[in-house]
Amino acid sequence: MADKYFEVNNLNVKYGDIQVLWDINFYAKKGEIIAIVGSNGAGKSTTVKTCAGLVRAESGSIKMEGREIAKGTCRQFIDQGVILIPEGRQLFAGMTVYENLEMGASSPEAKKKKKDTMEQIFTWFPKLKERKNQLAGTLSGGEQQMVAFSRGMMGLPRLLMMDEPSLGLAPNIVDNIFSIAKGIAKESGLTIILVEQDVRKALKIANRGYVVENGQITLEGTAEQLMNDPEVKKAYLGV
Amino acid sequence: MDTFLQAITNGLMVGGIYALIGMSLTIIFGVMKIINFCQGELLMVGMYVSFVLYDQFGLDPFLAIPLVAIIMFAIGALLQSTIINRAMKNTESDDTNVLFLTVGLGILFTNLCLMFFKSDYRTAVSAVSQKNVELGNITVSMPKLISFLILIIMSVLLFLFLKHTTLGKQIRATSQNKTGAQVSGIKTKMVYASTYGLGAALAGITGACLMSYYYVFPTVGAVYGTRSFIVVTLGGLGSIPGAFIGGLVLGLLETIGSVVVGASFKDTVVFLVFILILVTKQLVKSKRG
Repeated sequence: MADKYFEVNNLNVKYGDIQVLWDINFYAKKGEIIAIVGSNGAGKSTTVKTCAGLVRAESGSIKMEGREIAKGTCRQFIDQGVILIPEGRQLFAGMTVYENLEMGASSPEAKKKKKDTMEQIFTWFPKLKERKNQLAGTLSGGEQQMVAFSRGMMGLPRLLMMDEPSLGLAPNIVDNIFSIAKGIAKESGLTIILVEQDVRKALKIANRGYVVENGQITLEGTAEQLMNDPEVKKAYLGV
Repeated sequence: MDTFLQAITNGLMVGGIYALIGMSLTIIFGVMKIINFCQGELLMVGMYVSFVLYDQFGLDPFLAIPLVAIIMFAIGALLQSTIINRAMKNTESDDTNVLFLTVGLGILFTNLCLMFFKSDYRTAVSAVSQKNVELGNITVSMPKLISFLILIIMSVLLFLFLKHTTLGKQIRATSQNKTGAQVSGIKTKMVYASTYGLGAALAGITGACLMSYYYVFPTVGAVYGTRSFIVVTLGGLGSIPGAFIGGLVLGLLETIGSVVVGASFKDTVVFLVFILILVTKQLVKSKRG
């Protein structure tokens, strides 16, 4: 189907002998924000890590704009515009904010547009401009998440995956980053896959969502449908 | 007083060699998180490369340094990408694979050199080998002084390389956060191979310097291998400035130790101080929580 911009089919992943993902299927249309929600250890992180080339799939297909990329290295995923902002930010703590951002521009195209992208980023996060010569490890949690997000944007993603961006951050900082991400999605057609434990927050900004339980997708639908689903309400929203 | 100053000077000269080999070990550890047990043997191979260049082409050990560095870089990068990388894949939870592999590689290198060069002591003569520099009452042998200058030059070059070049930044990034490097699109495999190559090249440069006033034999690496571990532990695993200082401290300990308690006990002094430093380090650490 043409409107499936990013598509994952029958994805199986094993850590050693233990299977952690069973036949995962999902897709995203261009410009969509997809939420992948579920409890701790359900397999959300593994799903996006596999979709970024960090974890190798046992079987199944991952397609970006119709191109099969499941067997690629992390770098090859990035060259196809598929970029992950990993859980826990994973910054280069002993390098400056500027250097961290610089490292994010790896493909030839991203390197060429490095200056422009960085200017753009500094308009979203003026704070980072002020602190660009500061070591990333000395920033506050919220600022670090901004750096992680920006480092991902430096690679000029067409599909951006965010793994637990809200972890350990104050709500207003999370809202700030989410609203910027949403703005980018609207303006430039960036597709976003958001992995969150904070189900309410995730479904609020997403168009559609998938619920992952025990390594399988158990529920899917529009954000609204999921928000009103009795199971979701009971298990995740505490209503 | 003069004996003491002489001991300090000698200590710095010896320490320069220790610092270089220590830096070569620490950069590999810092990036790949593996303890390379064949670092001393890489130095030995570097010495033989330097010897062959001298023996066959009459190249002065000091002039041969760039060539030795390039050859050793190639050997190191090739070793990493063909053999060591394969062992690293399975070691998420178990580092012993790589440990045994590097020990094994060390034994292999020693025996290969034994096969090709026999166990004879070999020397290469530099144009400056017999020259001395007099500073007041202190005498420094020219090759040692040049080696020390090479240490300083290499440290500065290494610093500039890591700080300002793309590959250097990628090496730092990978050492600080491998996942972060991967999701930034850094080709970590390439970074690993280059880092190991860089470590081997530094070991080779150390060997070439050593060749200008010392002799090479197949087991010469063992001494320097052990010393490199002391240097790196003193300076902190993975820290390049730490290895620089650690090397000089170790050199000073040796020479001052041999003046104070006699040459036959210099190793005793070295290890006593080393143990003391380790214990104090641990105490300070546990006090800080």
